[in-house]
Amino acid sequence: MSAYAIYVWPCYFLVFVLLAAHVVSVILERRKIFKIIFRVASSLKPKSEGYTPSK
Amino acid sequence: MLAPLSRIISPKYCYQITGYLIPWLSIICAALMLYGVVGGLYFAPADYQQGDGFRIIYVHVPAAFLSLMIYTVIFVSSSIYLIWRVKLADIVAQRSAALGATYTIIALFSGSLWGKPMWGTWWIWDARLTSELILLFLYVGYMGLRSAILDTNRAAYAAAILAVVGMIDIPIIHFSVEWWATLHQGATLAKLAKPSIAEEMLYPLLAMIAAFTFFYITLLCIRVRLEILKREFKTQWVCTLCT
Repeated sequence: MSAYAIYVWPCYFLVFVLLAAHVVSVILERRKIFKIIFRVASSLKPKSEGYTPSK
Repeated sequence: MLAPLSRIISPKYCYQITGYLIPWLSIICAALMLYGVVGGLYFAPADYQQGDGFRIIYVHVPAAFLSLMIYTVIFVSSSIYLIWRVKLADIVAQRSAALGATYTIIALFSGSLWGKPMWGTWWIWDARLTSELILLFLYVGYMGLRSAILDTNRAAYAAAILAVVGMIDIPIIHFSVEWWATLHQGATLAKLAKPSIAEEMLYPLLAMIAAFTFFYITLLCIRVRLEILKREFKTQWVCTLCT
């Protein structure tokens, strides 16, 4: 087997897998954080006009 | 005079600026990576001694360079945090560590793959290799220390101290090939002398170094934005973003 197959391609493969893993982790973290922020933002939203609390 | 500076280092301003920068940084990174990979794998001629195995240089050297550069960024940010208590500096240091550790792992692994055909061994306790391994331990220790302490301010302070102390390893790594008789070769790209590498091999190498750098900066901008949102999620401006 050539040097390409044994050494070079596994090297490049590892590099792109690791860098892609960082991109994926950033995407997942972004989703998690925005879920939390939406939850907090909606709990802080003022109640709409015309609302009458039940007696 | 300090008012513009305090505006620049405010989380809200940083969030806005990084939002503008990220698309451009991504495009530049992708273009450089494409040129570097295609140039390094296909257009650069094979080395007369090492054959095609030398092409590992196009990931090994950029990864090693970035592993040192990112730790230096962590050192500078930690120093700014310790002296002036700038929150943004702590965020930059915190969010740089993971990618710095990744680049160090890439440098060690690719170096090992390169060492087997060239030196006949996967690993040797050479000055440069050993000090690079210590750098990996520093990165892992930094991240471990931050996550071990629950209080954010105490974690930031302890990690900043570790980062400052660990900076001693960077000049040791860089000068190890000059100070000791090592198996690892000397610098290919010197600051003042003409590079000892052919131009057809040099340009893809420079492109890959730049690509890895832009990748780090892009990911850092994204991660800093996320950390700012995490720390400031109860503030009005963050809630306004999402409504």
